[in-house]
Amino acid sequence: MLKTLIQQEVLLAARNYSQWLTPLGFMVLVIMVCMISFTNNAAVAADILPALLWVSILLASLLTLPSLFANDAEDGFISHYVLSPYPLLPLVITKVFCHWLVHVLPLCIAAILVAFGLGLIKTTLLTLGLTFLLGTPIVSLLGAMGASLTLAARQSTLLLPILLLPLYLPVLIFALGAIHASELHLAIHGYIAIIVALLLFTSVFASLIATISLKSGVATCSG
Amino acid sequence: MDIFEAKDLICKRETRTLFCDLNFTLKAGELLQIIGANGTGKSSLLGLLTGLLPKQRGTVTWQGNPLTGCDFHFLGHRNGLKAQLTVLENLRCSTRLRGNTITRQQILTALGNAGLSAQADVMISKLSAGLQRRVALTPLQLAKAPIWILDEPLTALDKTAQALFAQQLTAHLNQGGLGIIATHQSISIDNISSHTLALGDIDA
Repeated sequence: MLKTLIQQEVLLAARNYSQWLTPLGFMVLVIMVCMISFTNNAAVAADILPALLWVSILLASLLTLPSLFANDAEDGFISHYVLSPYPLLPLVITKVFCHWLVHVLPLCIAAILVAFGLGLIKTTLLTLGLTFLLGTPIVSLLGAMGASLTLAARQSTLLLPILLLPLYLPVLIFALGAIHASELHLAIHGYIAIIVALLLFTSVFASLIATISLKSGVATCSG
Repeated sequence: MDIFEAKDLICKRETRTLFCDLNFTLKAGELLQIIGANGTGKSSLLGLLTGLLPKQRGTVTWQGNPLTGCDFHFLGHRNGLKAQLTVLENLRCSTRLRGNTITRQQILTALGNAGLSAQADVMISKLSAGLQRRVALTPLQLAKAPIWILDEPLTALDKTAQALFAQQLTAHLNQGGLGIIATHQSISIDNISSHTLALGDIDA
């Protein structure tokens, strides 16, 4: 059943390619413009590259969030989730996973390719990839929480970033901490452990909050 | 006993009370038509019955137990269809979400009965409003549920499709099913005990 849901989301993404291609293009453009503006200061550019990649992923993913549940609310599909005999929590988690797979993973891959192209050293590149792998699911989870909470407020395009960016800061700080440590050839276990802890914490709480707010919010959007 | 019972329901929208102390019971084979002007709370009542709207007060029971998603089919005023998926893909996913495993052949047969065979592989966004509504009504035939809770099922349907729906509803009621339908066009069916609930005539 969850497989059907994932298939459906991937199929929708394949047909609605502008939905994930636009943030991807936005992110690549932001990185390119920043890098070009630092051309006469290559050392600074190399220094800020990991932070720039992370921040641009966060900003680009914000573009994808409003549609996470709003599309389902718009066409009434959301009532299928809520009325399903299956518990809502696994459905929400699957939905979040699909968001990560379809929207965030392409951003990460593109960011790593850009970093590779701009000559980031191998160990830093590996750490960057690791922080993406463990950190970006947090972005999707918190995003789903924000998107479901703001579902009833139709004009949530501004509300959502204001609500979410502060919550994104811990993962950003520890991810960049890990990258900085690996640049100095220090141990990164501590940072990674904290990111994993954040991931576990948000996967429980953010998905629970999203589930609860969807349950009570469906009506306001379809009634 | 196959009894559907709604007790003590209340609906408030902003500061207005749309209805309060709303009670009704429905036995197997009975139809309830909810009528009332726009904005009198028909859709909200269906939301309360299905559980899509949180209840401030009151209970909704089926056979003595709280109503669950398996007991009924719900069709709201939105069709619940994905515009970017084909008819077949839509029905496959929505029936799976209901917990029914239904083969492609069964879906095709149901679509054939609804006169939609030619549209099986057409994307929903390419269909007219009436055809979309007919697709949304197809799950009623695919998986059996004792109760149908429908919000304006006849919207955008042509004469033939309306007649087909009436025929399917009659069959459903004759098999001991229940129907709760919010509608502006009263549905008259012979030999069926039909009740009417008029909303909007209570003082706020």
